[in-house]
Amino acid sequence: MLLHITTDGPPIYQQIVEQIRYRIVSGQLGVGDELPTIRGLAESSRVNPNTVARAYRELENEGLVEKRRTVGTFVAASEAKLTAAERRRLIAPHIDRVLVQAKQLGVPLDDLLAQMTQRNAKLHDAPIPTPAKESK
Amino acid sequence: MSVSHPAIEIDHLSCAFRRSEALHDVTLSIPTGCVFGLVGLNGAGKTTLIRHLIGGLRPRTGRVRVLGEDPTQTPESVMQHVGYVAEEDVLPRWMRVGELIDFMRALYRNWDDQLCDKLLEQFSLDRSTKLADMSKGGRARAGLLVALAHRPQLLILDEPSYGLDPIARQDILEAVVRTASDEGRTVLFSSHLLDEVSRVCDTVGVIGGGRLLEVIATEQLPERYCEVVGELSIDDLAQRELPGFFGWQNRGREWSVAVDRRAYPDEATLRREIGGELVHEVRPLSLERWFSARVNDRELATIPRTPAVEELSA
Amino acid sequence: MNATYALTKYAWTRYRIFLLLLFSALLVSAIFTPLLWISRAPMWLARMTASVGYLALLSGLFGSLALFGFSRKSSLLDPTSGYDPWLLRQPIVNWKLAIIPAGLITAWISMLWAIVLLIVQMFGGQDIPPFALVIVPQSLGMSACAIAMCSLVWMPFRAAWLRIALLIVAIPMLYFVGLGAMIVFASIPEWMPWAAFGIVACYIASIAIAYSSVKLARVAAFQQTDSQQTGSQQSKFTTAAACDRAVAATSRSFPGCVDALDWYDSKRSRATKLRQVLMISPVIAILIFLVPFSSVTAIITLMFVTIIVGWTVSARFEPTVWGARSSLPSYLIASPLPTRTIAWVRLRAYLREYPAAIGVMTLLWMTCFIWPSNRVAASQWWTQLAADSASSLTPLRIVVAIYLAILVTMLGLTLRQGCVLLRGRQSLVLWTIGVVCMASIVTLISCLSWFMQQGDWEHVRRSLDDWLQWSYQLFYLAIVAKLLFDASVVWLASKNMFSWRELASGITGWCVAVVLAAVAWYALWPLGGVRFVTVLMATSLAIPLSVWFAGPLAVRANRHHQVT
Repeated sequence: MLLHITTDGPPIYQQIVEQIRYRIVSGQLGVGDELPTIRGLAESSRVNPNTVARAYRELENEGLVEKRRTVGTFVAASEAKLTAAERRRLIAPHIDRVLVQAKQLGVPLDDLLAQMTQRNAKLHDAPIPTPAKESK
Repeated sequence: MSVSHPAIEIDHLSCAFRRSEALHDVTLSIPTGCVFGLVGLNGAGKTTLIRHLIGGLRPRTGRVRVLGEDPTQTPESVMQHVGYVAEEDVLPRWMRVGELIDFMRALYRNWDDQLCDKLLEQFSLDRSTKLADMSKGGRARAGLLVALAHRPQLLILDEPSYGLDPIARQDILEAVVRTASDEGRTVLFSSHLLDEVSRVCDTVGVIGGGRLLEVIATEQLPERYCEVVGELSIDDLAQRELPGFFGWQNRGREWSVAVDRRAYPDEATLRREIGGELVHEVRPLSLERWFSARVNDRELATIPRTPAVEELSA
Repeated sequence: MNATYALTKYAWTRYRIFLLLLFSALLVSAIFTPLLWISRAPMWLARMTASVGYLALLSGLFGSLALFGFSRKSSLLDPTSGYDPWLLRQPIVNWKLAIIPAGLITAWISMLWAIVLLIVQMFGGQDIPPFALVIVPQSLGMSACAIAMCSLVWMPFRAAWLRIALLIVAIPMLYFVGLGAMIVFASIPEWMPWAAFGIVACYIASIAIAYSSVKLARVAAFQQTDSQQTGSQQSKFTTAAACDRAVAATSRSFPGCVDALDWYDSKRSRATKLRQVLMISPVIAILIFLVPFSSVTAIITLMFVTIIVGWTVSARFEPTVWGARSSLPSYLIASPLPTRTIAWVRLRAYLREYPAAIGVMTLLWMTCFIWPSNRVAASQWWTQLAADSASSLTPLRIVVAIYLAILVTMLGLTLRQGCVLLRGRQSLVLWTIGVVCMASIVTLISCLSWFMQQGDWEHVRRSLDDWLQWSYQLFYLAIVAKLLFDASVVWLASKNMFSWRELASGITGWCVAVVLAAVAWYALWPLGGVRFVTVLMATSLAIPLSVWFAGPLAVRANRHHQVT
């Protein structure tokens, strides 16, 4: 797995979490696929192994992957273990960012909501969507 | 070797060359298994500290223990387990790569021939090339190879990527990560390239003017400190004296300061302390900003206070 | 004009210390010699100050090559140009880069040569009639030689051996031609116009060579790429490289770390040794073939040659001593090698060079006997010696005894020098070398200046005998000093690195060596009045004891540097 890590952005473990999460959500990694070992990923992306381990822990807490003892780490089949409140808390900063942008461009809230619904429909038609991060 | 002692233990080490003080009362303990990044400006004392660790300098005051032993007393046994890559390009240029490897192999008991061959292939080195004919990056790779091939328990790299091309730097970082992945191995990595340090190190120590200013785990950095950006009003200069504030910087009227979060229970208290609407943003402190704040703060501490304040208000 | 100023300033800043030393020696000699001459001071003192000035002048003349050669080359084996690459990158046109050093060399040599001739004219009482007419062509001739040699160093070559071959051919040729022209000029007036024409032609030719070599050096410096470099390196020593490569490609395993270090130490200094041999060989050749032989000059020449050879081995400037804070590179400091091994293997490497040095000296002694007059003188000497000591003294025994003596003394000299080098403090090494150099040069000059004036062999012998009687006191003093010094080193060693057991075995070994050497010596050459005890003591003085303990101590201090 080739990850793109920059050091002037968000913390490195968060970059790893986001990139793996994106691959899982977008379907590049299917249920039951094995993630690279901590050591392998650390060497290939030249990052401290502890950081990779921390990212894997985070992903495990989110319920995206599961650790099978002595075998490795795999993409989890089960639904997300996060509670609704936790999910709301996680999405809040992204919504804030969109709202600030909309206000600056002068897009009213109704229009924004309509566009969101529209784009959501499109997103589910297309197999691999453009991530919010890159379209920003 | 037992794991009971830390890999590196330095106790109140001071060192002075002629008139200039190179190290002042440095106390540091690096546990086994740690990837320690030593950052500092040029001439801050990184190399002097490392020369003490390899036994090149005998401490006058203080104590140095590497893998539990004194490197100046028993270099034969300590250095068997230490790999060292020097800052300068010092390898004997009249040797060929193969001759260098054969020479070094005779010196180390647990030389790993398989690892050596693997590294030769990975670094695309040829045994018959003369070191004098190689590029600087090639020589650095050769130095790294002979430092790694005896599977050292402690790897000491003094500015390994200084003046090297990006590919050679990546090779070096990969070697650090690989060493760190093995159980019970320690890496000390000195550099002034902060992006490398923040990638591979789990603990960072900043050294300035011969003093070890702070040691912190890279993970803890954003939790422990934050950066506050705001606009300065002239009569609020007294804010400089607020507890936990350090490393002031200003561009025009806008200023930025690093804040120790321990002094303030939450962000609201912090904003209130500074004076509410002055603050534009509170964000986690990056390694770069932390480093410059620590180093600048030390420089400010050595010069009189008043000119600094005037400069700030100007 | 600006370029001239800049390059002169450059030479001055680079060699400031040497120039200051040179000028101060000249000044001291110029002021004190006349003063001493006039005053009632002993004559030998005046002569000594005069010869100091003379020596400074001569070294200045020879040093002009290094002074304005602008070379930064560490090895003549390097095929690239020897002109300072930094200067080559500056915006100065080619002809200035070539002409200015050439002009500086000419000016420098003419100035010094004029002073030399002036001194000769004033004090030597010799009259050189048309003064300017002599100085100009002679200094032009010498400058032509110097410029030609500089351009050989500046020229970039495709293969390194080409430069060395050219130097070996060119240096003696230049000296022969240059000196020949000067002698012809001075002694045969009819040939004077031809000689002058030849000298000027040589000068112009040498400047042309210098210009072309600078031009080529510049082109090569700018075009140099990695592939070209490796290409030329590959073609350098095709056969040697091929077999070295083959050796390097297959891995070799040393039986132990001592063997590895042994290999390292013997191979490390190979280039240095080669360079030194190349440097001294023309000097020796000139001394041997140009000095007209008589029994006196033969002895003087051989003394000089022996000293030069001895010095090349012992007073070697290790490349690591220069520039580095320590003569031990960091890969040795940080290696798991025991300190004693590093010291002893290095000392052993110095000892290994001895067969080569002794071989060269043997060869030199042998060449002396090519001249029949020398053979006659030597046989006379031997028969006289044999008659004096009234014993069956064959020439073979004398030769073997002298060999043994030289071997032992030089061995000790080198080992002591090696110990100083092991300490690795640049200032210490330079001071030691400076002091030893000064001491030997002063002794040599005073001996020679006395010796040159003696016409009567009997008188020389008698004073030599007197001096020998007197020097016994010095001899005892030296033995006491050595004992004290050894005792202090042993004490220091017992405190720091060695157990008493190791010290005892070292001392025992030394005693055995001393006794054996003394017995051999005494048996070979039973001199009349000399007792065995005296031979034993002399041997003990010559064979070093403390180096075996001082060496590791020096390496330890060098390896684990204590900041004061």
